Amino acid sequence: MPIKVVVADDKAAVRLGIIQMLKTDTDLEVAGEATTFAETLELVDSLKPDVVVLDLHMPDERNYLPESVKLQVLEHAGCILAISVWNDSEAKALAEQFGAKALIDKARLFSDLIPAIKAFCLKS
Amino acid sequence: MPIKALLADDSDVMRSAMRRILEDEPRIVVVGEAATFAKTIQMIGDLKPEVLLLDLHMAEKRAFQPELVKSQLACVCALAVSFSNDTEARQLAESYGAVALLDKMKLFDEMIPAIMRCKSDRSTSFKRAHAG
Repeated sequence: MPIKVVVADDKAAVRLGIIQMLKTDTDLEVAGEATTFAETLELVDSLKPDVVVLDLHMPDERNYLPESVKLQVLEHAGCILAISVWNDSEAKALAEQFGAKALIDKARLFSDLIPAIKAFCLKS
Repeated sequence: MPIKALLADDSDVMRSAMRRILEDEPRIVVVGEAATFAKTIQMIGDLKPEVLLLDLHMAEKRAFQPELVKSQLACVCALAVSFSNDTEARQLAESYGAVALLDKMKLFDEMIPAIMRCKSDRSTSFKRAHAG
């Protein structure tokens, strides 16, 4: 059974890049896309994905506390991987608050995302 | 005695991912991590690992040309790691003295078998990671 992945990022170009990359790996299946935290929570509830690739900063972020997103997502999904243009200690702390197993620098998505999905989410 | 492995990659996520893959394997122990070629060479001297997982694309590679680094890596079984698996990547891996090139996208499946082959196969000739 392929690993089901929901991709959540408000930038269409980022989502498209991630989706195209994930499609090259037959172990992975893109189950859905979201552009806001609200959409992410709806999708996770309906699709029950194995992995959520979650942008740390989306337009409705002021309406969602990281800890509550973490609780709601992990109720239905197996694993969260955060992505961000930032990779500093503040971003890492925020990723942790969201319950992410790792923070992937958006500049390194091409090399790091799939290995991170398999290392951090497959084993869990 | 577990095989001592050193992880060399300038991405902290990749080093964590490799460590995560290896942590449940009792035959292998991660003795250190390095984010630069300079640190990698220093840690090889200090920690005497048996196996090195070496990212081919670390940032300061221009300062560490393969011919300079190769002799420093001669005492370990070097496994090159890259997101590319083309001829250029394989040639670069060979120029560093690596015995195999591992695909970053397939580390979960390839890394442990490749490390175990380092121990069982003392040949220094370059092999595809997933051949045979």
